[in-house]
Amino acid sequence: MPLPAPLLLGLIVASGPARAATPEDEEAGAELVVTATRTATARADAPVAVELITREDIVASGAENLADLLEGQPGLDVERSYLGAALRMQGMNPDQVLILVDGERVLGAKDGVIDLGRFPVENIQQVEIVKGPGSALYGADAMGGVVNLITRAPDEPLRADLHLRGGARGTADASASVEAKGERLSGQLLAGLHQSDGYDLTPQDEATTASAFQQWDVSGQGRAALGPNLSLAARGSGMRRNLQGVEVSGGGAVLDRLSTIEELQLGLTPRLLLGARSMLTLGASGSLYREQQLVDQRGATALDTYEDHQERLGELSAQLDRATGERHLLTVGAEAMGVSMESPRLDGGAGARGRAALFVQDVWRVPGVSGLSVVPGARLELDSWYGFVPTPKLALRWQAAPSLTVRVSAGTGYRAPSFKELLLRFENPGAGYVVQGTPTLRPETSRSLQLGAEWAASDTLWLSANVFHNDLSDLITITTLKAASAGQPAQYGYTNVASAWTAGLELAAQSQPAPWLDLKLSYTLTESRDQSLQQPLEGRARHRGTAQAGFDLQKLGVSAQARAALVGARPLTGDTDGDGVPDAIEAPAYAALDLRVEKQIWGRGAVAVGVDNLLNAGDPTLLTMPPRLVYCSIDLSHPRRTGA
Amino acid sequence: MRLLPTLIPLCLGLACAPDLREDRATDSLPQDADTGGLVTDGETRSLTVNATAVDVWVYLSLHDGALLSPADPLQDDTWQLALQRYNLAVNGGVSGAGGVEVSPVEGRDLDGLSAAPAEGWRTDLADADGDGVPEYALGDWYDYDATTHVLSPANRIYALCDGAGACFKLSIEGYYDDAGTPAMLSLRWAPLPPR
Repeated sequence: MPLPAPLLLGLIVASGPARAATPEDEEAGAELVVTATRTATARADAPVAVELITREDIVASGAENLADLLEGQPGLDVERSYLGAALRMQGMNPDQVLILVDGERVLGAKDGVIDLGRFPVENIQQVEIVKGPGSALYGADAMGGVVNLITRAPDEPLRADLHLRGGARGTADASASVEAKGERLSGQLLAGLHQSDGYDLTPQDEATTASAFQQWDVSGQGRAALGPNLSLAARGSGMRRNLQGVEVSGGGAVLDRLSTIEELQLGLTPRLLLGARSMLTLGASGSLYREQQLVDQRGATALDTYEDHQERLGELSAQLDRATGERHLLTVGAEAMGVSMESPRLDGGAGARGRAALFVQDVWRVPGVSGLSVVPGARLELDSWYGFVPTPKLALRWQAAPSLTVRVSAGTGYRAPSFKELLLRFENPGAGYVVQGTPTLRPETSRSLQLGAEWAASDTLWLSANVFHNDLSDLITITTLKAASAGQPAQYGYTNVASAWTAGLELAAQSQPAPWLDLKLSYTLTESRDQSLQQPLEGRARHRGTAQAGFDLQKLGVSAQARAALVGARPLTGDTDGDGVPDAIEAPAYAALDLRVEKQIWGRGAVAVGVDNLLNAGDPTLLTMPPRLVYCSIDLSHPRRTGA
Repeated sequence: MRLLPTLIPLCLGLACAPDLREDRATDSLPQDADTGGLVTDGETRSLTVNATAVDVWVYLSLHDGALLSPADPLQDDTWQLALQRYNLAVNGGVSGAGGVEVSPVEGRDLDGLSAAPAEGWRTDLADADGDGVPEYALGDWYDYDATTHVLSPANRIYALCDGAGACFKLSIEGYYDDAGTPAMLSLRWAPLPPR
């Protein structure tokens, strides 16, 4: 049911676009999300379904990074490869899912994959997941959905936290934070250190499966109330990650691969109340991403390479939220963005793009139909490479009964061609094949329909169902411009030729049969079809289920959690007969199980032991997930923790 | 983008990691610069040729296994075979004035070939498919795995005769050396009676 106008406005005033909810909001009793509408909204009232991973969920999972956290989430598919941990949802590719940190884009995608493993969870307050196209609000790359990482904000007058974890394979994690919150000023500093020896699923050869790494990250944020109507939020974060791995080339060369990733993000968000019913939020942000890659051939230098890739992003935004009458909440905004990349793999060594956008959305409580809200929205984006792209969307939310909510949405999404797809110029030094970008590429586009319902069957049982269908057009695929022939290596390029669809059903149930027991179950059916190749899209499991059981024995100060993911067979391609022609293969089904037990100590923290991937699922070629990991951890906080 | 110049100085402590090359000693082996030694077994010779340079041809005399540096390769008849990565040219046709021709022989039995074939002779021809690269007579020496991008010798060897009537049998044994470096071409050849 929609919030009363005063509270609604209060939420508008208290929060800006894609920002964490404030404690005042939480005291209002609503579980707040921002990703569905770019404005703080009670999760239950959001016009599109928002899946929420709270700080409590994060702590209980034992996950240290976003990849581990999302692996067991309903309907999400984390696929690991040499590119890192990639996220799929609703059968869509990783580059068709937009990942945001506090509403801002992140850099550093490789072959379209943003490695989820590089995001530590220590500074995340909550993760908001909106499935289905989000381009009407967020623009490019939100075809399959949006994952928004909301960073932690100070919520106590003075507090310090320490987290330590150690485990097998040289796994060590440490993080510490201090925060202070006053009437007018608040701030937080956080630092983390993470390392692992990686793992090797093929010990019979020199190659490693996952690189060893060491990562340092620091972040901080401050908020100031500069007057009754003006507030200012500033945030910054920095990260350095060193990786070491070994690869064996097709020709037998053993290559030591070293890389150093550095990332810096800064943002400034002033908010201004305009009268009693409007708020203006401005934003300025910038990001730097640099990745050095060094390849050192063992026993020779012919294949030694060094590459320095750098990306820069600057963004300005303005958003006005205005409550009109009792029935409208209007959001209008504008954004301008510039991105550049320097890489020896780009033709000319560099690329740049500019993008500007206008967006509008209205949350309209329809008169005469109780509990019905209609949310039309649209975004018009102008990109310096391919021109205008409009992305309209219409969402509907109907509170059919006090316990039953129905949501329907239809919208469009698109993905911008990457710099690599536009400007790549790569020639393999050994085999001689050439891959070149295509500057005339158009964006990939999608049309989507989502239909869902949530039913609070009782005080202890909650059920939901969602069906989706996504039509994908102008998909960018690599194509053979010139086939290899006698004495002539192949030439490859990119074209907008493919089309595909994905469709499916997502079911979820949550129950608390006893005060000490919390159960969650989910099942996702995903069908997909590459209409050009007339075969299922690669890597998508048709059946996927998750189960989670949480036990909380408060009298003993003990809690425990078991998380399981059951993933069906996945269609893949690979050369199985050595004839150089890809063959259809099927990766077998697997089950992953994580366990964790925690004991409160001294009222100021907890110790925990856990096992990730207890069943040791995984294989060297078709499922390169981390092997079983046993760990223990300790958390301390001062003053005593009042929540997770 | 105007924001960036102001942001960049703020990252001095972060986005200025040391150059990865500074702490990494690179290997240095003779094979990176030189061709491996000639091995003679009776009349059969074996040689690994470093043809890794992208834009440099390496010229080889099959008579004595010497690598040559002809001043004018197009007018020089002392070489029979030239190598540049996966490209193998013969001193004939558009590649040279040596009158070299080759004839493929299916199979990999170099020792079993005792006479030059009667048919199938060809030499390097001008570009016919418009890609700017000549149609090399030895252009089919390898098979290409499009999945792994690995080159491996095709199931054939070659008979090769120059304009003076000297003939050889030639096998390309491999494209990679023990370190896995591509374009380290292993060759094996022996004289054949004149055709």
